[in-house]
Amino acid sequence: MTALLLLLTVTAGQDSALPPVRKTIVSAAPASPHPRCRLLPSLLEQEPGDAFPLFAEIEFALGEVPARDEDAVRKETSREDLRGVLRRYEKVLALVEKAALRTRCDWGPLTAQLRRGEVRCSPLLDKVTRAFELLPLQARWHLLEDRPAEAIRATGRCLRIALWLSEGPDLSGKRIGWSLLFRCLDGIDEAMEHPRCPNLYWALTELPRPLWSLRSEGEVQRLRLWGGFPGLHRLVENPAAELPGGAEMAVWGKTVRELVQDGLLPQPVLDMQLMALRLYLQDPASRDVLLRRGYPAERIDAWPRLVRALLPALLDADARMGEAQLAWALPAADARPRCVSLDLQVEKERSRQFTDLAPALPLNLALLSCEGMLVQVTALERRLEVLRTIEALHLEAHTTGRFPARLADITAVPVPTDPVTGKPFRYGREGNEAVLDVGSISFPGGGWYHRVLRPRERETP
Amino acid sequence: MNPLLLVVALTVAQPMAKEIKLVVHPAAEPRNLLRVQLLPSLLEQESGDCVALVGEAVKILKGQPEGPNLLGVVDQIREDLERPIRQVDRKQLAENLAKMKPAMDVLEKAARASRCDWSKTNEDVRTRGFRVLLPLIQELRRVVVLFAARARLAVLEDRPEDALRSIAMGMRFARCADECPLLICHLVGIAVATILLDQLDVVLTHPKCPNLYWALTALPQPFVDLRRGMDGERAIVIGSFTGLSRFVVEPNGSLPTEEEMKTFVASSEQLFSEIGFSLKDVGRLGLGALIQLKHETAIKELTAGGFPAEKMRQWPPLLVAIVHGLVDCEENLGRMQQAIDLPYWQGGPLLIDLDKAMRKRGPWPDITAPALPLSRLLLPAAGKVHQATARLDRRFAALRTIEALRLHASRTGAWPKTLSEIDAVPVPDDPVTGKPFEYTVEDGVAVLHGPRLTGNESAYFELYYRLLLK
Repeated sequence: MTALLLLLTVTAGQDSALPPVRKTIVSAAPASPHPRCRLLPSLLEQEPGDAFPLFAEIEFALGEVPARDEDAVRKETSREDLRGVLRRYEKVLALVEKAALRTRCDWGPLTAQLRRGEVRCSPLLDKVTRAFELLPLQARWHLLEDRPAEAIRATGRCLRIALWLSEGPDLSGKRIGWSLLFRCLDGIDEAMEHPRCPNLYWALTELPRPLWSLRSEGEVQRLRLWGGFPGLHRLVENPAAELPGGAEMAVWGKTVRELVQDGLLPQPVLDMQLMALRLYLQDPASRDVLLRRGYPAERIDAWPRLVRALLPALLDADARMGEAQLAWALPAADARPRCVSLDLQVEKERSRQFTDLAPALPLNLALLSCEGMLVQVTALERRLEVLRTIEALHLEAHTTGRFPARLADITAVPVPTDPVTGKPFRYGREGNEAVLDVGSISFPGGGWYHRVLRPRERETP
Repeated sequence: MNPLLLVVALTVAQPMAKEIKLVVHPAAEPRNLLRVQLLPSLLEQESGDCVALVGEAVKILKGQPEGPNLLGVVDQIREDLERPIRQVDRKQLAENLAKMKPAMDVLEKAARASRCDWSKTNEDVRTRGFRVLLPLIQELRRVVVLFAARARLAVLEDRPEDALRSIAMGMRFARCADECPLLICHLVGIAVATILLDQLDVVLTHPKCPNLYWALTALPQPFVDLRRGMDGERAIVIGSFTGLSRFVVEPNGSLPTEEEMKTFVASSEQLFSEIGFSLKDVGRLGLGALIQLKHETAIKELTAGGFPAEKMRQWPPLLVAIVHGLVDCEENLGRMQQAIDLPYWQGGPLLIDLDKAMRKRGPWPDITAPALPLSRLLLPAAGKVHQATARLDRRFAALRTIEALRLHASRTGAWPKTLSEIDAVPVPDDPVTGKPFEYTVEDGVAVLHGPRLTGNESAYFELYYRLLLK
């Protein structure tokens, strides 16, 4: 087997303060069309059924592990430590693997609970984070034990869980999924350094795109928005519908307190006297908004003042979220100016809160930054495309013995483009070295790599 | 035969490019961009299984357990969809749809269900292989006709937003078919979406039709994802040889017993005849000779792929031949998957070439080819499915472009001279070519054209929209 030693230098770009990292990478064998080399579990490996109920079993199994191990899975560990951790969590890991091999993860029941405001987030998912983090550890362990194929399999299961969490409606789950996805890509990066790691170009190409769907993100945000104020959405479709009951209204107060605690709403909204005054002062304006939206005057007048105040605020925030959701459906380059404009509007409203007759409860301030989400997700996509480009370069180097002068010279496989610009990454060859420059000034936070790849002489098999 | 008749016959027989003529009105961006959506949103979802609910609705349509059989009425409704809208008897259509109310109530729930559970199909694919039965998937085509007809009735009754709502509910069934792990299911999903898009064209001609640019933009792209189906096709290949798959997955495992081998031979003979590889063609002796002749080559090929040579020499030749055939299938599926993972303009031509190569793949003249041509017999014509997917995505992109044109016209009062003149919203590229659609304006008629990529696609692949602005 021909092998090339690649020296990989990762230096912090202008958009991040990451310290320079030097890595040694050995080139990979050519991409095989054989479907064995893949990341996500295939149908043949899967077991029919829903993964979600297994999360409760995982939580139970976690309870049996001594408390002292709580943070063990998050620490950088030595080979011996890893072995110990994985052994202690053997039962948990088996359940996590079982969950990753299920055919589906049904978020329906949790979604329904969120919509009805019965829960704001699932405490279960927070508790099982530790268990999911075992998968990247297991991948690393396999690599240290010289089993790259097993490492890739563990990374694939990690990806499966991460993607399910990303599709779910729960914020904790999404946070865990996000972190896991990056750790999975780190794991792939590490595996690519192993001399016997097969080329992962096609395995990476086969992954669902985008890895993190902002389409579902927008839907989830809207679900959470209305779920925080149960009973009000039914009035949107049918103004004559039953008014929210006491139990539903109790959730509203809880939601507002949580939003304030999270720093998404300003503290004064908790001042009952101030809010009562604002509701009174802004009631005519709220009524006008609802009339303009086509609600019948007699229904509006029959609603309590609080409902009249909240409904326009929710509709406004919903529309704003919808605009972000639609912007996210565009390619990054088209989406970004729209997101910037949307965020600017929110910033303007933030600066004039409590100074005019804006909605009594400025719920649109509680929305995520449109551009922030876009940048993060694009960074994830870009990270994946960088890995694909490196694997494409490996393939070319494996075939011809040296890196190509231009990315366009790669003939073995199609070369990915930068999801930010829609054009190939900046690339050049300096002697035997190849430089893949992914840093970007025009898209803050969008990239941070400046990679130098250097081949060493071929080894005989 | 009369030469003129022959020319006419040939002309009729040749498939024509899809050409859609629409008279449309300018339409500005709606104030609330999410007011119209073309798929039910998460906010509308209820916990439940879409597949099971469709099964319930179909039982109602069939009059089970008691009640009138309504399938004849469904056929009448389907005929109404094929007529030009002006020729539809509105009253009759409304009456027919009223008869469907009990089934439609269940289907409404199905469209809002949170999941599409194809677990049973997944299991059947793995255990029954190509013998898998898919009765329910075809029913999706039947039930979506009801949503399409309801949309048509709403247009006739001057309720374009209700028509769009029906189309959105119907689209959920296309997405549900997409979650089933076989290419045939994806084709059903494409057919379902196409039935609805034909009605969307009708809605677009209504003067009060809101601008759908953002509703179309928010749809998943690509609308149908073939990766799941390709995974299922692989499972079908392995599942067709139940019991043998362990030798593909774990070649170092225990040897088959004599009893196992007898079962393999019997089931393989039955399978070969079922998939059209009749032993009568070559005879049992002929096949035996072919397997023996290719035995060493098969071992060499499998060894190169990582199989242990020593172990394989202990296997009976028939087992080696089958495993060789299965591995060949897997590699060809892998090549197909690679092409599918690429944009159409890169992967489409590759896949069509692969399809052609598969159809020809036999034990001769390629000496390295397996004795048993399982690739030819078991692998799907993925190129055709890929084309159908690309055609659907092209239709969605063309509709988005039309909506961008209507938006532009609402501001300027006329069609733009070129697509690059549109600055209100980004104009999508043609997903088939990766370039903007071909666009011309002549005598006030805007023509949007999606050409064939290579000469290999059928004429149906080509798409024309001729648009007159009112």
